[in-house]
Amino acid sequence: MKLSDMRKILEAATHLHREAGNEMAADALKEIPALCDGRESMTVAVLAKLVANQATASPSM
Amino acid sequence: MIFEKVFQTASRSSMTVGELRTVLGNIQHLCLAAGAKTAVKDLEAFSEMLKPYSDMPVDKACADIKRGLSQPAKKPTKRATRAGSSTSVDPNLIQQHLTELREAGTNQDAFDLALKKLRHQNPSSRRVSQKLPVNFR
Repeated sequence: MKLSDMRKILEAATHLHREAGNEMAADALKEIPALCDGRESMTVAVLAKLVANQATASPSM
Repeated sequence: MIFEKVFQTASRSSMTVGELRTVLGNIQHLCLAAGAKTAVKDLEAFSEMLKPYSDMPVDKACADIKRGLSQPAKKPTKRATRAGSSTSVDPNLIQQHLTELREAGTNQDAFDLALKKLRHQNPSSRRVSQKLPVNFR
């Protein structure tokens, strides 16, 4: 699945949580699609790999 | 039941990534119930991707990830050398072998002898000699 599609799922989930009054979850979910900015054609698997490499390379993790 | 879990209310103002992963898990259940297998699999991958950041607030984790992704990938500083091989080149040795091969000219025996010496000196030269036409070997 491409990140553009994942973004749609996360945005729908944000909307559902907001409508249900779970603002905290909605706010948290709203942050995530920002990771997809400029990478819409990338797949979720590729992004996951990039982030995993970053996490292992970072001394703070 | 899924909806009860998805829409449970919260009292704090910000969420940790660990808590967000629980929310993502609930969305996964929703997708599973709808038969969206690809979405389930990718939500799982997304959640796993966030696992190392579980103790961090979501906004900080996202900022860290974004910052990390915006940096160019680091190139290895030095190429690893193969065990037992040397990267140093001796120009005199190369010249010596070149001269012997050139002097052999069309003499097949002299050429074979020069090539044999070259192979004996450096086993990796076999790759080069294997590419030569049959009448040059």
